[in-house]
Amino acid sequence: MRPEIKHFIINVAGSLLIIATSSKAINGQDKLTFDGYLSDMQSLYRVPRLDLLWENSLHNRLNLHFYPADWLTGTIQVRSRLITGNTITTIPGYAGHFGSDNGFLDLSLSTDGKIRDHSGYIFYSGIDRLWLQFTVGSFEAKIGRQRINWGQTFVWNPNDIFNSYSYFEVDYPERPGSDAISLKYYPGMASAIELAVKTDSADRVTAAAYFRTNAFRYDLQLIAGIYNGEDLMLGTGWSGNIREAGFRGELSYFRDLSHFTDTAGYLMVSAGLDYTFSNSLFIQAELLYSAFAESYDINSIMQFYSGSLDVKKLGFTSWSFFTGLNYPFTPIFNGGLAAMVYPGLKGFYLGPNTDISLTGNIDLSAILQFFSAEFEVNGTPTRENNLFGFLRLKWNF
Amino acid sequence: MNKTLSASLLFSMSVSFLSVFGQGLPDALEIVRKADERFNGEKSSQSVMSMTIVRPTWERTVAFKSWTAGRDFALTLITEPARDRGQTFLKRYGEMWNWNPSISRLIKLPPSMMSQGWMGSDYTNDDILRESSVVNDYIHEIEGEELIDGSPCYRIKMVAKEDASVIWGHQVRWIEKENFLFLKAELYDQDGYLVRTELGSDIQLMDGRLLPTRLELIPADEEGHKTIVIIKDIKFNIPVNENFFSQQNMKRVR
Repeated sequence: MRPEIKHFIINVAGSLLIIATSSKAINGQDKLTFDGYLSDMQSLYRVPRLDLLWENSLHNRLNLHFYPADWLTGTIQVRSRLITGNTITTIPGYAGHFGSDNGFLDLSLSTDGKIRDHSGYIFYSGIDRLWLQFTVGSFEAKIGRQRINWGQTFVWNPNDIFNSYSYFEVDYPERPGSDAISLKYYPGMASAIELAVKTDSADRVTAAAYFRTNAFRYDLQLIAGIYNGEDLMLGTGWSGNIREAGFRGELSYFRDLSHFTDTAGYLMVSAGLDYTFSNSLFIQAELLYSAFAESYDINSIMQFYSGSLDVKKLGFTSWSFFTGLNYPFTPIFNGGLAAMVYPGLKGFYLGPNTDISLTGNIDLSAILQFFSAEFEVNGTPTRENNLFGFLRLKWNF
Repeated sequence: MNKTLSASLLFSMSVSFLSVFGQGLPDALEIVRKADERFNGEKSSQSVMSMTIVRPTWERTVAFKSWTAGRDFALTLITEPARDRGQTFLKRYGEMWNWNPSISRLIKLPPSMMSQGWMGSDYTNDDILRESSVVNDYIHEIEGEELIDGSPCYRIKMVAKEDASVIWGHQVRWIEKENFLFLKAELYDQDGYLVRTELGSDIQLMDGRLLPTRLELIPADEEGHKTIVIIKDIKFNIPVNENFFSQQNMKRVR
């Protein structure tokens, strides 16, 4: 917590708000717009050795966008949740997990407590985007809490070193932002050069140079940098097609800076294919190889389930395989099924889901997540099954 | 993923929609071509449109802004529904990208995703992508004159040429005589069955031209189904060049 910086940011944001609201729209376009959503999600968790866990999450996202001048834009985005359930009283440290802000600045507030004996509540509100962007011709400078997304594949993104997060998180597509400075230059219509640096609550610095171009109908990217102050990171990624199908991949190489000469590096590779049939059936397949996984000592699915902020922990076995399909039965009724296989754990994941559009702006989603894998418990291989269910009503505005 | 990407072809509609207006003029091929080029030959355009899918028990609307330059460049910004607002689609020559601001993600779309129509609307992929030519792929014949919404129209039968790769066997189009506006069309399959009726109406002056600003697509065999496209605003030959259609601008247009 750095209160003086926090105050500075709040002052800048407040001034922007005043500028934006006090001046009239130019060219008929508003200088201040807002959007977001309000949702309520009921979650059930069936995990080994515990009673059925339940949780309700009332969730609001409010995005304010500022357009004070052609060369200056900004945003403030606030995520607030009121969570109630027996997860809070059953899982040690649960409230702390929700109340934390891993950024350089702590821009969140939270409180929690008990509701009778068997359930508790957490209220959390945090700013996960807060940036100003300056644009001069083909140059852009973006300063503040932002998401820097260098992913090319759909499931696992070894190139996405700034905002890694768990694939299984169903209620946070935006993900937390990075406290970062990004300088960008667009040398062409479909290419970009970027320098980005971020730091976090543990003062770990990630800094990288990024280059993306378009050649032979492929998007190709190169990354070189320092990851979390610990590793040299070199990466490359691509998006293109094989005939009609999308073909994407990412390759990242990490090497510990403090043991640079006496250790080899670690490689992570993801690659995937996707295809959309003329009836809108979408199918995809992806694989992940992670050299880091060999050294992981995993004894429970919950260990990797919750949002990981470390790109090295994307894979929990050396190889992971994904396949998924999605089909809009009607424009208002969409169904999907995702499956993963983790050979190293003799494990698999199944995730059926459905979205129903109740009105133009209200959606009902039902998601199931089933995990099954084998772990060593007291020296004996033991199969662990977990079933999670989510039902969410979401109003976008 | 699919739901958001499925809107990807919307921008193409602004191009194909325009092409409909110029289709099927009466007698000489040269006149037909000139009329077709009146719209398709425009250097650039900027439009605000909506598309509503109507079904017996529900309807849903997508609204968008589009910028186009020739057939090679297009940029579309989704403005409704709220869930997809702010997403943009960029087309440069044969390549296409999607920008999703809520996750700051640029996705390159493969050909199979690009050729997907808007599932559930009464548009087919052919309407949007095939760009078959009503000028070159058909033999035109004036069948007579009829009133549509009180306006005198040529009634023109267009029979697909044998070697043309078009999905329609023949079409009947009603074209308003004074301004050569498309007001009605019936599209028939290869076996001569009516597949779809199209109606143009709400003729307004937009950027100095008279245009039907409302187009309804009504499938023949599905009671209570239709798709309505409304042009809220359109400008032609706006001062944009190829540089407007950039990945940088995908993130800036609004």
